[in-house]
Amino acid sequence: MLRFLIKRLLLASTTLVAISIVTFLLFFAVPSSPAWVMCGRNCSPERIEQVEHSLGLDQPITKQYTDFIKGVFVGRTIDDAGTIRECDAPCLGYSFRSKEPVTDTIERSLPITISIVVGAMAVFLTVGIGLGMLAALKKGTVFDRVAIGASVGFASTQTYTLGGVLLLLLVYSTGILPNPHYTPFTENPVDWAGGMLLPWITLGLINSALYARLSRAQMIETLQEDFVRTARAKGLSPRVVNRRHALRAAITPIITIAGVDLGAYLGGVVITESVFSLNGIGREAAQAVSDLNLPVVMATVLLAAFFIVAMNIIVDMLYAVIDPRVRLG
Amino acid sequence: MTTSTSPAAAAVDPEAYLQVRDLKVQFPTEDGLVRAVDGVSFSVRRGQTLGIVGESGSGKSVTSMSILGLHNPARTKITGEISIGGQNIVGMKEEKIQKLRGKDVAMIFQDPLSALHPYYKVGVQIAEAYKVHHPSASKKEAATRAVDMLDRVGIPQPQRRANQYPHEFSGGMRQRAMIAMALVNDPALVIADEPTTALDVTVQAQILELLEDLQREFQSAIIMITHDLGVVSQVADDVLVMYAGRPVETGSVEQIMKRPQHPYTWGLLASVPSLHGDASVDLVPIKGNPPSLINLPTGCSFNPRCRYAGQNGNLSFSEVPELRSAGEDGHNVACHMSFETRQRLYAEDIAHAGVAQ
Amino acid sequence: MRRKFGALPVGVLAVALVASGCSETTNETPGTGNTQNVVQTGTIATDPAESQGPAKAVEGATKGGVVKLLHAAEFEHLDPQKIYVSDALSMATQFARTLTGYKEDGKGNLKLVGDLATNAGEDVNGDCKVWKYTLKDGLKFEDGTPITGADVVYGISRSFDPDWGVGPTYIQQWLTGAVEYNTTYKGPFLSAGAEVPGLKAEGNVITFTFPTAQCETPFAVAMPTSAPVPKAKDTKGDYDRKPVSSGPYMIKEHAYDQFIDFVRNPNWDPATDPIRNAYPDGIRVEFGIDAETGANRIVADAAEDQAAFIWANVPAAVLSKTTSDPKVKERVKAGASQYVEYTWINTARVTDVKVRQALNYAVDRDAIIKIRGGVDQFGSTIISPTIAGYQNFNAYDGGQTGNPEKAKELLGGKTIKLTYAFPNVPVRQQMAAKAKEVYAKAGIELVLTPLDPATYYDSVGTKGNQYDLIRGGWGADWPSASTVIPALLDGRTIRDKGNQNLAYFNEDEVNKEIDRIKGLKVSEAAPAWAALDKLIMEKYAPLIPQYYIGNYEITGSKIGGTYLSDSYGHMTLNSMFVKQ
Repeated sequence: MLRFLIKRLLLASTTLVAISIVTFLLFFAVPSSPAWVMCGRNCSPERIEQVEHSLGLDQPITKQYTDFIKGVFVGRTIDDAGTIRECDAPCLGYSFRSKEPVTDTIERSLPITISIVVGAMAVFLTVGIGLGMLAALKKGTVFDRVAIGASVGFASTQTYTLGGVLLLLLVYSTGILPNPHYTPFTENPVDWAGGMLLPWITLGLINSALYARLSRAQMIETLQEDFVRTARAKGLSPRVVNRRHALRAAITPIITIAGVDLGAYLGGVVITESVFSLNGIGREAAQAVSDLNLPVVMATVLLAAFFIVAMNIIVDMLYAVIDPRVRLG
Repeated sequence: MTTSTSPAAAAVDPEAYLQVRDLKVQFPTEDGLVRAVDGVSFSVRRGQTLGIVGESGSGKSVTSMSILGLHNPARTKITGEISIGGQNIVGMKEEKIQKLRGKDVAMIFQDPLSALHPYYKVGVQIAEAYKVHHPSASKKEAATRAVDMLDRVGIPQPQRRANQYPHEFSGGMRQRAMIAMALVNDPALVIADEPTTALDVTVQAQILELLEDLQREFQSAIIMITHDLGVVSQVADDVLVMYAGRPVETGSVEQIMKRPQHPYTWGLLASVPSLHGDASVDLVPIKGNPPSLINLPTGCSFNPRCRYAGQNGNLSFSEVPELRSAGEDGHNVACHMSFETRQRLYAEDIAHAGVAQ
Repeated sequence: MRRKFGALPVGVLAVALVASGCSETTNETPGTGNTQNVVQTGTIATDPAESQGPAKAVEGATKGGVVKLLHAAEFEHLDPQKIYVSDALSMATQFARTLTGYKEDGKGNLKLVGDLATNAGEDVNGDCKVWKYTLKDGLKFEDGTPITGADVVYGISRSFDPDWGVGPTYIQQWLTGAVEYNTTYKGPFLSAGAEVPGLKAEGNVITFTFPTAQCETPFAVAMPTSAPVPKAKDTKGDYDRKPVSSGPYMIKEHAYDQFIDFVRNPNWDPATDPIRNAYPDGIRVEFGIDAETGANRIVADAAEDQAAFIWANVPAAVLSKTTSDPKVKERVKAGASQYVEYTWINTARVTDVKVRQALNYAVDRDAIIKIRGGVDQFGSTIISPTIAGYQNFNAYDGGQTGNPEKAKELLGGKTIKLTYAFPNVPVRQQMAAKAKEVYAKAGIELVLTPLDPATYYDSVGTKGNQYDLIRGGWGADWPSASTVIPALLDGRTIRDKGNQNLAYFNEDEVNKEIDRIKGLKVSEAAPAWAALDKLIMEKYAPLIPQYYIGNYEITGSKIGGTYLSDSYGHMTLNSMFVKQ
């Protein structure tokens, strides 16, 4: 296990470094400059140069990159247009736009994304897996057909459409639900949940549909397994057979997918965040890309990559815990 | 075991633990009705072993699943009678059958790697089988019982082994564990579905020996399902040969092995590798494939693969042969050929090939 | 020219590309109920009494409550010397007081008065070269420190910093007399200790000395460039997040991209302020709520949004809801903005005035306004109604939908072929197709040439281009045509690249008149500009004014006292209150 972990962590670090380099190179390959974005079209070339200088963009790429890496590990000093900023490790740089340490940007926006994602996942994992499993057990019945029919419907819906319709129906027209908003959980858990309800429902419904179909297929497959027959042959009740024997095996690949999904979502759920006007990490990232806000682009890309890589490691380790046949090494 | 000349009039053996009469198992599917088992009767006494032989698709496994009541009643039509210790389980409520399963009737499955749950320790799986029928037993008692059973089936260091997962066992060990699990509740009837197919020859012999030992000890009735007449010859007292869901020949192991009457049985015998003689001559598999159970050939369902079809006029192609006495007591065969023709053909074509015994 | 909030980075001219889609409209704007069809009569206050506080009370207004701005994105800047976009300009009025400011009554009367200063400015020698401002007594920053002339000078000095590259540049350019104003003096950080050229503070008196006449100084110092900044509290780059307030509200908490909470500034003295009523106890700005969501929420008028408002036009998707329900309609504030849309006629190519006049006769403004959704207003002048001295006229009156027959007559039976350049985006495509159809009736064939929107202004701004008709637009920085006509139609500014005079129009008569009006006092200049507008249109017709871009904003049901400000185009916070 330890060897596995060390190996994977090394691989993960390499991946992150590679991603950071590629992001950096891509950024400088874009035939535009953040200075243009900040300065507008009436900017003279001299002013562009000034802005670029103040952002440190006139330095060689290699120097900028090593500065960035150095900042991450030991911190660095940033000269922003005469404002000297001490940026402690882990320093991801200063946002070109908000003129704050990028870590602050992340600290502010990540909890929002986490709130959306964790709640939505709770919804779609319980509803999705629950429905899928029930449908599998009741395969061919009216329940199965209705559940699967509905899930096909929802799965083919876009967050954008469904979110908009739900906003219109549940908020603007009827006021049944509050406007989506973010209140820190620690401040007021009830308000936190209230503000997140609509994103949870929307993301929950769409993904429930996907997970329902997935779990149904998995469960049906597992129910055909020899060991399920063995369990029944032992005289176990269907309840025990389904729960202890079938569900446990069927759910394993779903957990893998859910884990990877979680990693991907934590990097930002741009559309959900936009539809519900929640400034999570996804929107920050999208904004940073359109602003060519390099430090934030770097940080959000790396963060997203980190979540995916980390969740992959966690899923693999979890897999080893769930399935004794899997050996880590 | 006894078999009647006509399945409908199957004789009742009062001493039999398991009595199956005119069992028909059908699965309605979108393509048509699958007649998986079409009128089978047999019985087994405690301490006796019945071998059910046939190729895959012959209905032998479906028969065994019926005895455990494992078919989904919503998707299966079962008629006839399956009497276990005097209780007919056809049409019995699921809750009641559950109480029989694993306790009175236990099953040893073909491939223990897939038949054991990959995520649970072997000891736990055995203990679970014990605990479900001994609800008053503590967890510890069940665990101890599991270790005892592993010991009983000849697994060294049973305490340690109980704490391992199925994938950590060798093939033979796994089958022993499977057997331990089946026998944990001292079942009166054990159905072993191809218990040795996945194993190599030496291990195979050990497992069969173990089964025999255990049978002597527990006095259980055993149904040995196999496509391998070699296995049958080693362990069975009686044999039922099935083809396309129907019995084609029944009799004592001696009658079937020494004086087989049905061309299909001949074919099976011929495909058993002998331990002596020319391998190229020995292995004569039955040509062709088993028929579709939805569209059986008219007449004798074996006719497309039978070299002797048509020996007796058009009967092979028009009439389903009934199971009739093959001369000796208890030996029955479903073949249109006359006893004499069969004797002659067997003597001329088959006997010299030899069979492993 | 300043950018309007919501504009694309390529600049102001892109603003007009935003709105899209058709919705049913009449000849009127959808919000006629509240449309401020007012004509700007703004002047500079001459009576010092007009610069004295407190501001005139609004009838029925009550103190208290918190108003909430639902805003799409974080303000680009809050540092007064960096602000140049309409939303931040409107916001800055509440925390960054300036030497002068606009006093409005919501009925179209706009007057430039002294805000920090005792009056709108003293032209010391009567030649517009030396301007003197005296600060009022009792002015304080949020921390209680008195505001002095040095703070104003320090604020202006910051705008010279070459690293910034943002914010208006009028004062800097006027003080140095150079377009590249920061070649010598580079602001207080890079040129520490050096004096700001032409700028002096003695106690409460600030003197601007310009090398050339700058009669519009009172307007220029109304921009937040002149906001005071306490040197001791200048956090440089971080000042942009939390500037020190000199106005009625100060920042209590600023969570970037999430929200800003403004609370009352206890050190603001209403007796010094002729402009702001400061009725609410606080202003909350929530970011990340796009115009559509914001408009939807305000239309829905849930309890939490009743004191909310937006500083963006109600988007097409929500527009019908604001016209169908009278209760919603009455919450709409609609009017013309300082932005005017034109079709330029490249006079270097279309040299025949008759053709240019024919193009003006045949234009179907009504159809074009409908394509844009209907919030814009019929416009046939170069300057917008928000500009001081504005005169409404239509030199080539073809009615609401144009008069192709009259155009044909002017062309005398000729048929002509013209190329028409426009940014290749859906709304512009629709408008171009419509123009082609309309002009065909007059015997003018348009060859549509859609151009890459990203480089559109580079293409059409290049002298000697191949386009006869060119889509464009303009907005004034302050309500004076001096930021419109000279910028657009002074032929001497034509360069090889980056032209704003897209008609490539160069007439001595006009150039001379521009010079003459620039030397006039503001009060005399205003009507002169309007007259020049008319002259240019009647005599030369170098462009076809299309419409005044409309403002169409909405508030929750509990907001009162506000109107569309003629100074920055958004609903004013000065007199806004929460209905109790």
